[in-house]
Amino acid sequence: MNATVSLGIVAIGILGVLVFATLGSRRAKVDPQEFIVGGRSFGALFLWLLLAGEIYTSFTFLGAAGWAYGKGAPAFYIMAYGTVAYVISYFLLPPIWKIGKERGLLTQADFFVERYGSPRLGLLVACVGFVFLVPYVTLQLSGLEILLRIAGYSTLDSTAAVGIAFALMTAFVSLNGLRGTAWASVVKDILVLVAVLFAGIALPIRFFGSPAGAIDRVLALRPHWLTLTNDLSTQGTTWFVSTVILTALGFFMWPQSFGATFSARDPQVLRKNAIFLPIYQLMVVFVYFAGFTALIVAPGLKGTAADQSFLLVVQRFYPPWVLGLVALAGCLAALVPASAQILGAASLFAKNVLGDGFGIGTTDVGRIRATRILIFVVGALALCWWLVARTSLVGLLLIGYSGVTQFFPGVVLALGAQRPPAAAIGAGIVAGIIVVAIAALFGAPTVYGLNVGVFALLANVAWIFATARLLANVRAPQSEPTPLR
Amino acid sequence: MSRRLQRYALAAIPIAMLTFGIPFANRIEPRVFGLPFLLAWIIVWILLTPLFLTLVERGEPAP
Repeated sequence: MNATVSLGIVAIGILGVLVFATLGSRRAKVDPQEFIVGGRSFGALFLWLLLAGEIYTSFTFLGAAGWAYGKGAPAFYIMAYGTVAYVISYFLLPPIWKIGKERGLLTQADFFVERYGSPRLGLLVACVGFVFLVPYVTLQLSGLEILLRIAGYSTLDSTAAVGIAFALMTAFVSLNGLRGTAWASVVKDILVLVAVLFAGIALPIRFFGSPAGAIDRVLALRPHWLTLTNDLSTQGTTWFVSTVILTALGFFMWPQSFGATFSARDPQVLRKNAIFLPIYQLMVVFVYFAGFTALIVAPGLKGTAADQSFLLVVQRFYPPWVLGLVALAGCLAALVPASAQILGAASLFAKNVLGDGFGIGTTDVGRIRATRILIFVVGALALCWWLVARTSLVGLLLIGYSGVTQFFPGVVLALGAQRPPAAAIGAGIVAGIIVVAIAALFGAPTVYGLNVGVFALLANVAWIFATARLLANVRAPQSEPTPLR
Repeated sequence: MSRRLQRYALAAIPIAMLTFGIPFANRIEPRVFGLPFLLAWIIVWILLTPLFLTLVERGEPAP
């Protein structure tokens, strides 16, 4: 009975959002510009919704609470890095947008092709982006599974439920493209906001009288939980600072976030978003409070089980309709970003690998058809990966972040007048990714207290300059320079 | 200092406070509205970031 109520709310909610977003995006005419970058027509509010929809995923929802529960103060990095990323985006995205507009670019790899005059570099960037995006989609499926299992009071075959929900979402993206995702974000953001305020305010008030009461209890139980260790240990201050910098650099390097830049109507829209998106980060504070409350009320969850902490509290102490609404918000926080990630991966592969690499689907109609088919392929890949390897996905996400961050030097250097040759950029990306892979193989998240991504980025930059010197007589073709303003 | 450098310097302030400032803010006391100082520090700088970026925007040359 309980499960019927909460799961009913989740099912009706998801279907309702899909129908609403399909109606919202129906009138648009279908061409690649429209399908992949929303016709470059999004104003400040709509782009804000899209970015918030892409960025605040089930990782924010479950992972931030899980880290507050399982690790304490290191969780605060999640608030900090997004804010730093928005400040960087204020300067970085407008020139990228201008180049995209002038040259009709659709994807991140297009940008590299255009700036460095090398389709092969574009192919490399597309393949690397694709490889790191699939585990990110897989991560959303893990979040979805936790939410559906808890909403079903463990009575449900959650694997099948995840499959159905995900198949619906895949069909939805294939039908509606980017505009559909932005419309779905409207509902998702409102629901997530309500759920997060509930979890961060109502939960601590119920158990401790006030949100600050939760802090007192946590400090009484664990005096060092809310500060970082001041040394070079795994998650001390050195780790914190290096991770915030690194993930902030990588933030807009994810192919779908980079691509979202092109959907803006004008550069002013991007600046306005950079100014106002930091405020949205404050939502994460409430998620921390939910995690702290769970730490006191439902202690003892270990490892990845910490991600379920505050949902279990809701399940145990609140009526099924409350659980249903919270789980619905969480499911949308998994599905909406997943839809953007799938679209990002599929359009990257269709445009830059199939189209530019093999000459398949180069007409407008062909490109859309290829993207639509690839959406299902990416969805199936992510689903298979999830079925095979369910655990250690947060680890994969951090590796993914270190991976896409390797695009950063190439993007920044592309905006200057003096660009290194394409081969140097490619060598840098490969070198950085080799370092990331070695670190992942040896399971070393930190070296001397620093996030290993820092070493990967240093290797990347070193290789760019070393190779550029070696190839000093080979120059990237100089189109008119677009200096970084 | 050129106008462009001024704008970069303004934007660098919140970034520095949320990165290199963290080790100096890494403490519980004084509590701010019940929050530990470290968390309050991060929240305050997030709230100030839009103000700094608005100042940066004021300095943009007209398009």
